[in-house]
Parts: sequence; C-alpha cells; structure tokens
Amino acid sequence: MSLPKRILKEAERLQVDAPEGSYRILEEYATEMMFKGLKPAQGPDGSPFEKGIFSLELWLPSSYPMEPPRVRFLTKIYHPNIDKLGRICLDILKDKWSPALQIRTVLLSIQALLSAPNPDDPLANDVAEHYKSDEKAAIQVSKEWTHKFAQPA
Amino acid sequence: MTQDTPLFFDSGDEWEEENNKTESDLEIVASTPAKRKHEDKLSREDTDVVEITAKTDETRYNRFIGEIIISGWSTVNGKGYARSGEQVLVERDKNKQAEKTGKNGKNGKGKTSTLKGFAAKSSNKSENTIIRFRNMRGFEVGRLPSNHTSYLSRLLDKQIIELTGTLMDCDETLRSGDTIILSLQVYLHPKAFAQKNSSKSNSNNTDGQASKISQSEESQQEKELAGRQEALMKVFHHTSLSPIESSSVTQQHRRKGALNGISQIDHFKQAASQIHSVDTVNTANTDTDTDNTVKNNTKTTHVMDKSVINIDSSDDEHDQAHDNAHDRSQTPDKVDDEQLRAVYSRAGGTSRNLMPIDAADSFNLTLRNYQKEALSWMSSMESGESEEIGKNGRSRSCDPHPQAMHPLWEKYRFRDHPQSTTHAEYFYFNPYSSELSDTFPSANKTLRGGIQGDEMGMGKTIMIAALLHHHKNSDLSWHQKQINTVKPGKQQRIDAVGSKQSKSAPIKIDQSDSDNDYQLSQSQEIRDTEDGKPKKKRKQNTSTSAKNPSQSRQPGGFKALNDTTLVIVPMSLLGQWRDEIERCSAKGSVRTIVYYGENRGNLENQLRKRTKVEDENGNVIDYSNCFNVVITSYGVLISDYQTFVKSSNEAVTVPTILDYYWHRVVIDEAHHIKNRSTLNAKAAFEIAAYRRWALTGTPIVNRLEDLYSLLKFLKVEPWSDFTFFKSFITAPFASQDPKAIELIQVIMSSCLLRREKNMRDSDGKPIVTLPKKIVNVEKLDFSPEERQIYNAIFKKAKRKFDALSHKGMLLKSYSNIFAMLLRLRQAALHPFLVTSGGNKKDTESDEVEDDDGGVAGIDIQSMIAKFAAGGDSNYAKQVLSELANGVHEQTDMSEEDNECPICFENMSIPVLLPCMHKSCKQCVLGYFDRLEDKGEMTSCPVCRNGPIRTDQLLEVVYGEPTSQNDQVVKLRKAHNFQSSAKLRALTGHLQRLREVEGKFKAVVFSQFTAFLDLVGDSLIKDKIHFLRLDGSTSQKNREIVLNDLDRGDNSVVLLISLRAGGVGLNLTSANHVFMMDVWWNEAIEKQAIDRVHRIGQEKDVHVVRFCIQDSIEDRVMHIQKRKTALVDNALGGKSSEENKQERIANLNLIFSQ
Repeated sequence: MSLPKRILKEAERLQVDAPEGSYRILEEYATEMMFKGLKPAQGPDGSPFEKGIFSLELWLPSSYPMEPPRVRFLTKIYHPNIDKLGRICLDILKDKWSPALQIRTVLLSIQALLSAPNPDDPLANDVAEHYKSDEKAAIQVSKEWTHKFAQPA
Repeated sequence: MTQDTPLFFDSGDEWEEENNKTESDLEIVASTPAKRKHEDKLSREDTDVVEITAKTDETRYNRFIGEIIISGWSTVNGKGYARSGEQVLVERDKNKQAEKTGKNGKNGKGKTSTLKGFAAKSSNKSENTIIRFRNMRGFEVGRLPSNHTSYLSRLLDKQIIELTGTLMDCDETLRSGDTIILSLQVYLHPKAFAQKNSSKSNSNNTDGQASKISQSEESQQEKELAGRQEALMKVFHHTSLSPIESSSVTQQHRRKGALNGISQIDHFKQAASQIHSVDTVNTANTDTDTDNTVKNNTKTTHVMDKSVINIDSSDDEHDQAHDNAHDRSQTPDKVDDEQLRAVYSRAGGTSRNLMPIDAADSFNLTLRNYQKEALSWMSSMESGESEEIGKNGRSRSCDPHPQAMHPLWEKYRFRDHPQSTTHAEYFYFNPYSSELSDTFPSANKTLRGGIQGDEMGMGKTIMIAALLHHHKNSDLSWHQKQINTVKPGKQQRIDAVGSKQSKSAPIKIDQSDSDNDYQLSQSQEIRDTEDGKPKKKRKQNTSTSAKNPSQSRQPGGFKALNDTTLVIVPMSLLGQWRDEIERCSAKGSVRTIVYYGENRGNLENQLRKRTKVEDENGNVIDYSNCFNVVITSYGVLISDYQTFVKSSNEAVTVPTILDYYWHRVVIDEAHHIKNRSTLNAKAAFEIAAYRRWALTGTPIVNRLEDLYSLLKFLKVEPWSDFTFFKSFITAPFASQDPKAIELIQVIMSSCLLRREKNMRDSDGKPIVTLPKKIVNVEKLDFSPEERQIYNAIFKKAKRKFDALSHKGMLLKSYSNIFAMLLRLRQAALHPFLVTSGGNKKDTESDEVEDDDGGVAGIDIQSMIAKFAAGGDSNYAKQVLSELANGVHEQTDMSEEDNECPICFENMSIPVLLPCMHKSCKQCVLGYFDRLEDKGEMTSCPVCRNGPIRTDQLLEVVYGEPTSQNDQVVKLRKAHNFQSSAKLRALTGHLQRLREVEGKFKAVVFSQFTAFLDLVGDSLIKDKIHFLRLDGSTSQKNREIVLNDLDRGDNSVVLLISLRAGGVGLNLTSANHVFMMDVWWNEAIEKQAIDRVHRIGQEKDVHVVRFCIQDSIEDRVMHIQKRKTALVDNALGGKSSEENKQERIANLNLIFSQ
C-alpha cells in the first residue's frame, strides 16, 4: 500500500531541506498507512543538549495530518518537558496541532523546546522541580546525560 | 402582357428549374426579350431554336382555355359605342390600386396584403372587383357582373388569365344599365405558370430569414392560395374545362365539392400513399367512400410493389386512430402519448414483412434479427426503385410521360391548337395548391433515405454502420460531371436550348437541388457574362439566403464525394461514433475522420487517400478499397454553414462540409433540428447529399412541427414546404381533425421505421431482450429546516401567482412564473441553490429574489477594494490581486504556491479563507468537521485565525481561458457539505451499494449543475469516487470521463446533467440510476434512463426517482401522469383557448395548497 502523497513529499523534502541540526531519516515504513521514522536529532548549540544525538520515534497515525504525529524520545534526556518514557509535552503535538504543520515544523519545535526548557509546564515533575530550585545544577545534569546517553553509536 | 418581362423572366427562370422540361417550357422562356441577347449567342449553336423564337408572337403565349358567356351591363348612353360581333377589350378597373388601399383603410382591418389583390375575401362587397370592357377605339362600353368579376378580378390582378371579349348581343343604342351579352375568351397567361413559385418563395424567404415568420403571414399566404384556387376552379367550371386525367381521389373530391379547406387532407393522405405506388392513381376504386378508398389504395400498393415500404392499414388501426384523435382533449398542436402511438403505429417493423438481410462481409458484428430487418428497409429506401431512376432515368426528362403523374395534379388540354410542335398541348393544375404547370408533374420518388426512429438503445448506430457497409458508394459521376463541365455563358440557358441538351443533361437526382444549381456552382465568370442581371434565384426550398440571386456557391457545388458519408452528431458522441464504426468494420474497410475542433483543418486534405497505413503493431492496413466516414458535430456544421453563407459570393477556397455533394448524410439525434428556425436546422437543410438519413428516438418530441424539420431535411415532397405542411397537417391537427393523424401515419409509413423495445417479432418473441428495469419513486420528506425554507419560497411564489391569476395575467407572465417554478424546484433539491450561502436566517428576506442564488460569482475587484479600504492586510491584497490578474493559472505558479497546506497536493478546488490563506476545499472542510466534532473552534490551519464559518469560505474557480473571457478566475461561495433530504437519500443509497455490492457503477442525473456541485461535495466527503459530465465538459474530457466509467475497476458515480446526458451517450457499464429531480417532460427522463438501459446492458437496471413529498415535485409528477406536461419553455405553444386552459389548470395544480 502506498503512502499518502503528503507523507512522501514531507519525507522527500526533509532529505533535501532539513531544519538546522541535520537530520537523517531512517525510513521504516510500517504497515497500515503509518509512517514510523527514527530520527536522531542534534541538540541545539548553546543548550545543555549541545552535541548530543537524540533518537526520536515518529509515528504517523492513519489520519495524519488531521491528527498530529506522535513523537517520542528514544534517547534518555534530562528535560523538564520530556518524561522518562520519552514523551514530550508540546502543545502542537496535542491540541494546538494543525494540519498545516509538518514533521519539519514539529522537529523545529522540539529543537526550540530543547533550547528553552519550560519548567512551568512540566511533564517530568522531578526534573522540573530540579530546574526550578537549582537551574545550574539541573543544566549540569542535562549536560551529563547528553554526554552519557546521546552519543553516536 | 409585354410590360412585365423582367419579372416574367425571373420567375420563368425559377419555374424552369422544375424537374421535367417539356418543349413548351422552352418556348415560353425563350421568348422574353431579356433573353433575346442570349439566344443570339445560342443561335450559333442551335439554329432551330432561333427559328422558333423568330416566329414567336408574344400574344401567342396566352393559351386559350375556353369561353364564358356573360351578360354584362352598359355604363354608357348613346349610339355607336358597340355592335354585336365586335371585339372588346376586357380590363380591370384602372383605379383599382388606389381604391383598394382606400377600402382597406375604411374597413379598418389594417390587413394590407403582402400580395396585391388577394387580401380580402371575394365576398367582401367593398372590395373593388370591377372589370370593364372597352371597344377597340378605347371607349368604355360596360362592366361585367359582379358574380363573375369576384373571381375573374383576382386572376386578372395576378396575371393568371387574360380576357378578350366578343359582343354577342348588343343594341346599337345603349342606355346605362342595358344588358349586353358577351362571350369572354379566357386565356392562361404564361405568367400563370411562371408564377407558380413566386408566392411561395416569398414565404420561404421569410422563413429563411430566421424565426420571425409569423402566424399571420402564414395565414395570409393560405388565404391567397385558397382564393386563387377557388377562382381557378370557377373559371374551369364556367369554361366547362375538365381534366383529361386526374386521380380518382381528386375526381371524388370534385364531385363532393370538397376541394377546399380541411377535407383536402383526405386527398393528401391518399396522395401520399400513392406517391410510392404510382400506378394506383388510376386503379383505385372510385365508388367507395373515402375510407375505403384509402384501404384500397394501400392494399393495391401492397400488391404492386413489394420493395417499397407499405402501409398496413387494418380497420383496427383506423378506428384506433380515430378514437385517439377524438378522445384527446388537450393542447391542439402538442402531441400526447396516445397520439404518438397512433402516429408511429404504421412505422413498426412487424407490419412491414421485412426480409432480414445480412450485413456486408466487411461488417464485423453480427446483427440481431430486427437490425437485419432495418438494414433491409434502409437498403430498399436507399435504392430500390429510386436507384433505377438514378441509372436509367437520364432520358426521362425528354420523355414526357415516363411515369405516372403526381397524384395531386390534374391534366388539362389547352383549347387552342398549338401552332408549332414545340407548344404544349396540355397543362397541369394542382387543385389543392392552385399551382399551374405546363410541365409534367411526375410522381417520381426522390426520397433516398428516411427516418430511422427506433427507440433509444436498439443500436441505431450499429444499424447505420451496417448500412454504410451495405451501400459503400454511389455513382455520383453525373454530379461531378455537372460541376466540371459547366462552362460560363453556355450553361445559363442549358435547358432553354431545347431537347438536344436536355437529353444529355443528367437527370436531377435530388429534387431540391436542381441541375441549374449545380451548373452555376463553380463559375465565377458567370456573373460577368450577362448584362449584370441576376440570372438565377436559388430554388426556394433550399434557400435560406435567397436574397442574393447570383450566388456562385451552391450547396454541394464544389465536389462530389461518391464514397463518403457525412455523419452529424452531438459533440458528446463524436468519439462514440468513431469507435463504434471502427469496431464493427473490418480493418481497412473504412476510414473515419473526426472533423472537429483542432483536427479540422482542410477536409480536402484529410479525404485524400493514403492507401497503405501502418498501425502501431506494424501491420500494414490497406485502405485502397475503403470508404470514408466524416463525423462531425452540429457545432461544426453551424460554423461551416455560417462560413458558407458569408462567403456565398466567393469561389470556394476552403471547402466547407456544405460545399461537397455527399454520398450520404446521416444526422444523429435528429431532434436537434426540430426547430426549423434554428441554425442547426437551417444548416442541415442545406447539406447536399444523395442519400439522407435522420436518426432519432423521438421523431416527434412534443409537437407535430418537429416532424416538419425532418421531412424538410429528407426533402420529402411536398411536405418540405412549410406552408403546405402547416395547412394540411398542423392546422387540421390543431382543429382536431382525426384525419390529420391518419395523414401523418401515411407520410410516416413512407419514410419512418420505428420499433420499440417492447415490440414482438412475428414469432411473438420480443425483438430486444434487455435486462429488467426497476423504477422506484422514492418519496422523501424535507428536514424541518428545509421545509421552512421551501415554504417561505412557496408562499412568496404563491402570493405572486395569486396576484397574477387575479389579474388574469398568468399566461402573459409565463416566463416570470417559470422563474418561480424553477426556484421551487431548486429548493426541493437543496436550500443552497436558492439562498446565498445557506445562512438560513436570510431566507425570509428578499434573497429569494436574487437570481444567482447561492452560486453567485463574487467580484474580485470589489473584494480588493474592500480590503484596500480596510488597509489591514497586505497579504490579502497580494493574494487577491494575483487572483485578479489570473496569475494563479497553474502553469504560472511555483509548485508550492498552489500546494494545499494540508494534503500537499495541487489544490483541485482551492478555497480562500477569510484570512486569505488557501487550501483545498475538501481538506479545510474535513479539518473543520474534525474540529467541530471535538467541540473546538474552527480556525485557519495556517494562521489559526478563527472562528470561521463555512459560508465564509470562497471558492476560487479557474474558468477555462477563452478569448472573450479574460477574467478566468472567479470566486464563489464554497458551501459547506450541509446535506439536504435528497443528498442524504442519495448518499444513503450509495453507501448501501458500497456495502452490498462492493463495486458498483451508478449514474446520477440532475438538471442543475449547481446541484451536481453539491452532490460532488458530498461524495468527496464520503470518499466515493465520482466523475462528472455536463454541458461545459470539453469533448476531450468527455471521452476521458466515459472511458473511466467503462474501464474503471473501482466503484464510480457519474454525475451528469440531464441536458448533456440525455442524448446518445452509452452508459451501459452502470446499472444504477438516480434521478435527482423531476423533469417537466417525462419523456426526457426516460430518455436519460435509457442511456443506461439499452443494448449492451447486462444487469438489471435499478432506477430511483427521488421526489419530495408535498412539494412542487410530487405535483409535477402528477401532471406528468396526466400526460399533459407543461410546455417546456415559456414561449412554446399556440394560444388556443384550450391550450391556455390546460396550462392554467396545471399551474393551479402546482400552486394549490
């Protein structure tokens, strides 16, 4: 079964014109009109996640783009808006989704989230608490985790 | 009589074009001074003629027919005015013209005749009918009595007769009022023969000048004819001149004194039947009553000539026809089903004992039995007896009596003795039309072709294709020779120089296109050879542009194509015809040329044969023995016709289809020419062809005049003369004369073959076995909202209707009422069709008045202005101005500009959101649906501005760029897919089909394309694949659509507008039909259904006709059931009282509550 044209086009364009931070798409087409990609994402410069390579799981429901893609970090990350299971707290992946958004814009948003953690709207409560009480120490942990887990294999 | 030679000359010309030239013809024409000049030229070629001409004395052309003894009275007092035995001059009153005008004015009738002298009835005492006689010295002696002048004056005024008198008993001394007995010698003026057509050509010119022929002109003409006929009959009576040869029927009429008015029909009916069996003229039993005579005649016909299609007139049929005609009680000139059945009753196949014949070897398909019968019929219509004439008949024009006389005519002997052998001994009179002729009116059958009127879906195309193979070509060399051999200066009197030439002159084959037409055709020089005088009027019954008498371009005058058939079809069928013909033909046996649009070019080049062609597989196909079929559309025909008429004075440079003389012409869906004043019809009449066929499933759509066009196209004489048709068919029919139907039956049986699908063959088996057709009327209820809207519109319409009805203005404001009815019918489909955008609160307002309703275009410029005034959005302005400039043509845009932000595809139906962001219609609406389901605010997917109501969306419509239309981009309201009762019902059906049948093919008909838009939207929503075909679909796309429907593997729904799809299309791959609305004329609905239910259909056909309860629709259905459908256009119909009542009754029914 062929994929909807929109998904093919997105994939194509991601190859050519990926957002800054270089993405490589590991294409792994799942059945049932779903698109499942593993995307290593580079942590943005100047953030605690600089130089880290994070693997993401991207799962497109069959109703995509009417429904948002489901995105999850596979690489462990110490971030107030990303929980232990890798789930991401990002409005556009939930109620703020619009079909005019794309995988590309989702990835950009995730990068922005890495640059600007938002402990006021936490998903991983302990990390958020840590960021609020002692931001420096928390950033340090983030850096360590990046160093420890987010290195190319 | 010498003073009018120029006129004489012209009309003489015209008369000469008649079929048979006898020698008297020669003498009359040759004597006119205008021709003398030419005869001098001719004298070098033929001295005999000059001799004759030299001997000619003008007065001799008055042919003596008899004497009348009359007692006149003296108008003088005195002696010496006159003596017994003296000759007197008999003349019309000199002041007649002046007085007449005065009289007309006085009468206040205001009817000034277009034809002098025949305006008022003879019984009208106030009319000047005075005839005086003078002695040889020029003094008036007396007058003739009025009982004689009433008719004589007419004939004198029309220069049909001349009178001289001899005083028989006259006193030397006269006192005013004294009786003078005199003997009048009556001569037929030569012009009487020449005049024959002049009055007709007047009417035909009017006819030709488009639709403005009026009823009054028509009746004026009839009156004139009737007057002339009556007067001539009286003259013959008083001179005791009786026909030496006359058809039995005419004799009978004469005895009964029935030779006037309606009863003539009887005669014509029989006459028409006799045309095919010429010998019956004198054999019919003269003593039986009229009806019996009919039977006898037709039975004789049976025996006489098997090859000709005969009339099977059983008593039952007769009675039935009578009953039908008596029983009917509705609009006079419209034809109801019963009558139609009667009309067609004799045109069936079974009554004809047709011998089925097999198709030619080069025909690949196997014909069904009834198709073979049709082939046999068509073949005999094309050849048979007529072929004989075509081959051997060349000498016929010299032989005065090769055939029987035309049954409408009578033969008389002149009473004077011809002074030379070149003078005719006889003359001929048509007591019905009052025409006089000095040439023999033969009953030759010139019809080569006919009407193939089989019901829809019986394979008319295939039958014609078989015919194409059956008669591949005809010998048209005679025609080609004529074109080629015409020499300027010589041809102009080719028939005047006598029998030598006319012997070699080929027989005229197509009666309407006389030899002379062709002779003239090519030579430009011809006009320069004679003193600038118009030499030739085009013969009236083909002339729509007869204003110019010196045309060098005549239909068929360029070249004869002896192996090429021209097929005229509606545009949508071009491809189908080509495919069908190729499918059933052996390779290389036929070359089809679709002469249409871009591919048109020069037909001449396309017809030039390439004998060997390689197909895509590399096989060489030998075309050296092929025949050609040129398929073209009515549109092309019209455009060629216009070119042809425009350049009628020029030599042929690029030949149009009218410039060729075709082996055969076939018009498909011939009801396209039913209105004789349309371009379609006029152009079709002009096509020059040896054989002519009209195909139509509905020879009569709703009025008898529909038939006239077909007869005229086929050139069935004498019915192709409209005056004739009208006075003998339409008028009697309108006055409910049952004979009219019989007459039509007879005419039809001579040229129509019509079988219906439910007919049975001689073994009692149905001739066609089709799968079942199951029609369900599904009654639906409005939703409360729809009902509310509908009622609002209905109330408003009813108020208007009541007001009009009260004022008695109903029929005068018919178009107004029709607009209201239209609105109601639309409201029954979907509220959006009548409201702008579906905002229900508005429906109470005057929005209903707004003609465009919900599909109104929105002016881009005014939107720009609005945004400019607001000054808030540059982006908006930019988008709009781009739209206005049309830069959003897909080619001008980068890919991403035209990409839908949601599906990433090119936007098929782009819509503008209020923020001026664009998206596919279905994407954005799908998104909105989802948001609404979740209870969220609808907003722009790009900028999240909201909320947005669906009626704020504007659809961008890219029109097809045309030269006239520079603004190709339009905006209109994009509707939400809000449903309506009908839409819900339809989608319900379709979804059920999808579940039950899996793969299905369905056709959805509606009359309203705007509604088809809505259906399309709803199908998009339900993800049902659909195709669409309407009037705006280009030919290329039609083929694609039809191909998709046929070959597609998946379920598909074809949305089709009733008008575009009512004709010709073959949609047999579908077997579900949904009729979304109710049409005034049920026949049209049936026709549409028959697109699916026709030969080739293998499954049962399920038809669902939707009808909203308690709305205009169920009332229309009710009217349909009464078989008295409303006239389908506002202008139709005569205004007879009954007709009016009928319409008012129908309207009242609709507006009853």
